[in-house]
Amino acid sequence: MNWYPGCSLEGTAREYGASMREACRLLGHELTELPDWSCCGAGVAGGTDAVLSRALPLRNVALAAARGEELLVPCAACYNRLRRAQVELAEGQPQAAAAGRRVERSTGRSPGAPVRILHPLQWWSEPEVLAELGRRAVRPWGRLPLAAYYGCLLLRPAAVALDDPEQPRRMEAILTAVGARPVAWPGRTECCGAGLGLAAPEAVKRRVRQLAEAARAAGARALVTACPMCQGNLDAYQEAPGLPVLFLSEVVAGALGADLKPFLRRHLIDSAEVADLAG
Amino acid sequence: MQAEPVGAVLVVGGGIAGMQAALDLAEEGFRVHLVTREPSLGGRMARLDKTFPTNDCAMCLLGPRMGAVERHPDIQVHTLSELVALEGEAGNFTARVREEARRVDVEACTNCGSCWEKCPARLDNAFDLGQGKRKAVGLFFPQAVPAAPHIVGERCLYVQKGTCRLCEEVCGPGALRLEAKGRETVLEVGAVILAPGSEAFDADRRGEYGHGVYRNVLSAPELERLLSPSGPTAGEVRRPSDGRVPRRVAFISCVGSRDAARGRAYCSAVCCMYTAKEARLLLEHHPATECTVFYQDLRAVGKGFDAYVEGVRRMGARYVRSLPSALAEDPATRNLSVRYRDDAGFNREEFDLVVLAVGLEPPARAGELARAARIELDARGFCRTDPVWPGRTTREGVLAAGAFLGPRDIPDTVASASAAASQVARALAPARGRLSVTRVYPPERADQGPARIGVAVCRCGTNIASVVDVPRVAGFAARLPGVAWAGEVTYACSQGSLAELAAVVERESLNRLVVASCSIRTHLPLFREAMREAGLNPFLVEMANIRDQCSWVHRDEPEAATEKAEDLVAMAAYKAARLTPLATGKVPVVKTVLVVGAGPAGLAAAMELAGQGFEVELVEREEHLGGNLRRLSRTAEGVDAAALLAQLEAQVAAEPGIRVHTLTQLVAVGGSPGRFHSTLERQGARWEVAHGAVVLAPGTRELDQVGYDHGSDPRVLTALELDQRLRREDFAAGEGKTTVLLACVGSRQDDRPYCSRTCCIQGVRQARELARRDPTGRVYLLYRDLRSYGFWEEEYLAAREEGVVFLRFDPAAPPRVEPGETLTVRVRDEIAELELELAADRLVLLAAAVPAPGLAQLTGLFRAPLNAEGFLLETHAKLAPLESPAAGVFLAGSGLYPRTAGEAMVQGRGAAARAAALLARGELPAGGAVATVDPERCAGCLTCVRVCPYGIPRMNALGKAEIDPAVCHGCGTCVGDCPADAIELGFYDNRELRGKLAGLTVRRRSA
Repeated sequence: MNWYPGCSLEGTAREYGASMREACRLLGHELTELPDWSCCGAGVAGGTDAVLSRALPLRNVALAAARGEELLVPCAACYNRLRRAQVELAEGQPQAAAAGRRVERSTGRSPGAPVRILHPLQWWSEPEVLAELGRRAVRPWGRLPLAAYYGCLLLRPAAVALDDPEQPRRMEAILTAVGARPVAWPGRTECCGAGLGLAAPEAVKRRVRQLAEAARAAGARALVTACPMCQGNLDAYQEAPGLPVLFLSEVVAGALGADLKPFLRRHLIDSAEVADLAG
Repeated sequence: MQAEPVGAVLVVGGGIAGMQAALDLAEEGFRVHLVTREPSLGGRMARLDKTFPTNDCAMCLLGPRMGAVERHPDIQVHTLSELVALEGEAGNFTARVREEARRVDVEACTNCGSCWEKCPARLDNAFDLGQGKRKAVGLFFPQAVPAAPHIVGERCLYVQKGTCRLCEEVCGPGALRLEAKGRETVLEVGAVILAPGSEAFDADRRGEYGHGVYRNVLSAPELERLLSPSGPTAGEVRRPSDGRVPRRVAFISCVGSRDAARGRAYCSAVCCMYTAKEARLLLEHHPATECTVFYQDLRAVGKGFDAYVEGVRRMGARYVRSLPSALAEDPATRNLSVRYRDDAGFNREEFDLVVLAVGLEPPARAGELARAARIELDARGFCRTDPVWPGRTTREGVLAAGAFLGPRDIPDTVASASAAASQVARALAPARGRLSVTRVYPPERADQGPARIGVAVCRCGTNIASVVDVPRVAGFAARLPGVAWAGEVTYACSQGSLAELAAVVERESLNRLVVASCSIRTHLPLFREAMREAGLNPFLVEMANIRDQCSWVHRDEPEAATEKAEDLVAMAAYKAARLTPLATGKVPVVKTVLVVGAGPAGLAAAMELAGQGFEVELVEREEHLGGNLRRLSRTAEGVDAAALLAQLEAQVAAEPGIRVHTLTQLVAVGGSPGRFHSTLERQGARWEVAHGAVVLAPGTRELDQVGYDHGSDPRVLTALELDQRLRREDFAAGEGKTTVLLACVGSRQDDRPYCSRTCCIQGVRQARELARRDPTGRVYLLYRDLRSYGFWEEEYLAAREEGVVFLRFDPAAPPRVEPGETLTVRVRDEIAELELELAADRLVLLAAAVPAPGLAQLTGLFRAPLNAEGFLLETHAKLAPLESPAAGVFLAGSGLYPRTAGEAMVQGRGAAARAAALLARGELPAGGAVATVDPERCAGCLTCVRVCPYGIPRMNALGKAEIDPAVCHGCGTCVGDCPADAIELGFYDNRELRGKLAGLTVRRRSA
């Protein structure tokens, strides 16, 4: 399967990238990196140039379309940028159309060609994959209570949401399939505050505390996320002793038999104890 | 249309709209096929516990209405059926109706309950919205009509797997038809009325409120079922998560209403009021409940609605003007926390239960119906209709009624159904009576010789017989004096048993019949009818209820239950021995209607009545026809008022059946319903007209004492004054001025507590018109609650987009106006939290609508009552909104309560249908079980005149009370209150009741 790691999965969230490869391998899929991929535009481009902010993701869409039917995009921000640009182009939004023309000129490929931008949350929650996860879970999580945390980029705006934006269910289904017990808790779709990390760190701390407290009150032993920004933010801004913040790929890979230590070593909050609870 | 229309009508929908239209048309002499997709009549109203603003039990109102439809010989009810195709044209349609198999023979079934007791297949009860369980065979709801179960094929073990058949085994009368298949029927009809109603918005679609995910979040219809005594919890409201009684309950308004993002930009018009009602019911059940209602604008736009909400507030409900954006569930307690912003800032509060006030949307199958009937829907999915003639669809001969035309409450639904019926009756007038069933009864046998009483003791399958010793009761009955025959029957009400009883009456020469079975209320009409067909006077039949009053309530005491049954049978037999045949005479009706008031309502009523072939005397006090239509530029519906009036005037002038009397007043009324003779006066000249019925359509006028220097400052106008100016297209054009419209001037205040209903929507229309004509000017509308109910919400949205500025003010700090070079309007904007100062060139006062002067005098002539606010009082706020308690008097228009011109015309047409139903019969049935005054004993004390709920008794020239047998309801109130014991009620006279008392002791005496 073709995949698009984006900058996070090779940098700040290397363990997300590594555990993702591992989880996919254990599921029987080797990931092939999209050749010549470039920045998705989620950083500064979005605020500076309306056409560039669409041209950057559309370039990757065009490259992916030329290579296959789908492209796995595990980073929530990359997923959001690529999907949004794709949707805007399909809807004929003028800046997306201009960006599309630019991409076509520079790559010689059409960014409007069909390709499914796929987030692992979508892929793994398909009924047959859920069944496959159950079959291959050699170390299921022994009904460990976990709090599925979606954040904002996977669900908003509604046009690119990969689940019901208000009452999502996909992550809970995956956690259940690998033997964990997703808890019901308020806050699943709240913003983590990462966007304000530099501008208003106090507000971020308050928000992170609220989220961790809510998850803990529901009995969760860890938060689970599929977004590098959420993971980094929740991991960094909690007061000690923090509630571990796991990547969904780590939870899945662990159940499928992977050794989690190399991944979890990179987390700021000590997650080793939680990892040991995997059956 | 061709010359010979078919005298039959297809009505689609079994709710209140469909039933009203069917009854109106059947009464007028048309054959009606009523088609409903459900297994029972009733529609959405059947799922309600109570109704606002009277807090009446919904089922108690609906039950008799459903029974009336089912019993009417000219109405054929097709349940589990839908219209699949409609060919032909107006006057001559061919309708194909597909019927799903009920698998129970309604004629043979006695509704004994054995089948569903035994049925092993349980499923979620769809009627209770999935709360509670039912069986695969069962009643749709306990009071279902027809009173017979149906089988849910998808869950029946026999239908699915070919096993079981338990229901068939236990069914005494053999009513199960497990092999039955669906079928298609072809109906020839002259016209079609579509009344499929509306559906509740699916609360799951507002995911942020967690319905279907958070267990203690209910939709309002779900709460309504829990509140209902016949609901899944027998009226106990408990939290779904833990069964506790909820203490803190929040209602969230506008779920699926005023929500353009979900394609529901309109206001659903009923939710504000049903929310207040449900809050009230919760508070009645548990006064310690803390009810909080989150709302946007409180739209209490109906008669007595503001007072009702005020009452609910006084009972302790807290109203918070805020729309919460999401709920969060506490995973431990399952409580719900609501974060909201009110005028004071952000708050977070926790509740035990949250109720979502979901809006109304088009029926899910509206598209299929529209395709089958070949009509168009509007962009929202409701029926596309005509603003001047709401109810007309895009296909001639196909009418629509009720909430299919857009969200509305029960009385407006009933009015629109009668209006549609009127239109149909008018189109099919030549065929009236052609297909209606006229029953011919054999001549009554003379009641000669001593009483020969027959007593039939019903086993009701095992319903009675399993507890009461039926053979013993029959044996006991046989020994009672005057009893010539006594026997057992398995189901007295089955068609077979009725035929058998008729044969016994004949063979044994019986002249009285006692049926010991079940409820008199539901079954006496049936036995009376059967005996009438056997040649017996119907008032010689008496019943004893040994099921409800013996076997059901004394299940564990069979001996005592049997003794009680014997007592009841003896009482019935003793009464039967004393029964006398009561004559049912007929009084001819004058086929002319007096219509008082020639505003939109009166004009519409007159046109309909004349169109149906009745004579109309149209009386108007003013010099010209039109009422307030003369003063408006456009109606609230956006129709050019002058053009509409010109059209109506032309139609009235061209209608030979209408005699117009302008500058005329009604000064005296004589006679009685069916044959009134009224005195009219024009410029001193008086003359009399004879008429069978009257339609009162008096209208309202604009309040004149409005303050704000109105009258002295030419810049201050009332809404009607502005509208008269707006009739000139150049008025206000391009002048760059600032206009402030001020709502609630004279409405919703201590001395005039009601909302005038039309001011907000007319104000929005005027504001948009000014903004259009004067693009450089500014328009502000100052309001308390912006009451743009129904589709008018979309006009309000458009006005905001077009730049009209809406400012909400607190009634405690109303805007102040200071005259000067410009009018300075100071208002505190509650949303911006700012004191604003508007420099206005023009101030428009949206003034209250008040009842027309002299209304009390007019209604006094007919003894038609008014309410406390001076508006006409209807017989019932829900199901009889266009009738006065005074017989023969029908009501329409703003005189009932302020209305838009379009709504008033619907009411006028509806009132016409109600009056026509009376006239079309040509005669009023008189006599039977009615009250009669003995003039010898009457002291003329007026007690009966005062206590009669229908205003029937009158004093004659001799100072004695008289009760017109043609209009007496036979309720007995006057009989009980008459201090001189001068009034007797037929079928319940003193001799008969003393007989009953004698029967009560006979068993003990003989033992």
